[in-house]
Amino acid sequence: MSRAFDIIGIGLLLCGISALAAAIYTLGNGRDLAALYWMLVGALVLRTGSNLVRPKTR
Amino acid sequence: MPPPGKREGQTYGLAVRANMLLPGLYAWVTTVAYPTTYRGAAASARITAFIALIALISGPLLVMERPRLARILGIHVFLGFSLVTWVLLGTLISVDRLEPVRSALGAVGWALFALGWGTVRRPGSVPEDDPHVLTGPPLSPRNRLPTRAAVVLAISLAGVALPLLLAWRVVRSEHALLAHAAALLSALIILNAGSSIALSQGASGGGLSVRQRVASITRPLALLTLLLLGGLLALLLR
Repeated sequence: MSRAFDIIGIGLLLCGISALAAAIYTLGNGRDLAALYWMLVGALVLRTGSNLVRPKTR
Repeated sequence: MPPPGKREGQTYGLAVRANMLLPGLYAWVTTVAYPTTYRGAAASARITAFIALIALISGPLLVMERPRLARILGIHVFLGFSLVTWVLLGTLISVDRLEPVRSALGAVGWALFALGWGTVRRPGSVPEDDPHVLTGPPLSPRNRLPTRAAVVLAISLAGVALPLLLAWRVVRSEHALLAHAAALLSALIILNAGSSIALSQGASGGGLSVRQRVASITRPLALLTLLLLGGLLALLLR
């Protein structure tokens, strides 16, 4: 099960990188709101991925 | 550290002093002294620039005999009087009056000045031979990371480069700086997450159960779902 989480984490890392790259790309195309949207998506995806593989204990 | 021979000590001392003095001298000439030659520069600015030069030279001269005083003079006093000089120069050093290449080279000089005052290990010396070293058995790692940790790290590093390169596509002048700032922020986020994911490869997740791990992603996942639904709705309504 731990290995599955590792693989999912890697998948989320790739998705997050793609989303952040899309954000900068759309900013270059003059679509500021879309760029902000993709930055938020990318940040949340990466946050999800890092929380999944390294859960923060309270 | 074993005491050097006399000739070796003189050479080492000269090298240390040169490392401290030369970059600082370059930075002083390009960014402090040169602006005081502008027409309209206050006499007080020229005086403080000269005092900064005295402090700059004094530091390396005293570094072997009185290292603490040398650092105070060569770093703090020099920086302080350079700063006062810039304040006294006022609008003479405003951004529209600066020459970009000289300014960039001056910045490099300041960076090298900072490095010049750093302490480096003498060539040929072995840290374990220092009389103050704490001896003991070598510390071995608790576990070894699997190969895919290196793959994840490589993916992260490639991912970091991607937004930084894409930022150069932004040609609108008012957005170009924003794009580079956003790219830098993206790079930091990717590096942070990527290093966490790489280091967790093969680990047991801190001994937490599956339920606890899923619970830890509930909030970001909920926000992400809302965001994706909102984006889908906006796409359908267009």
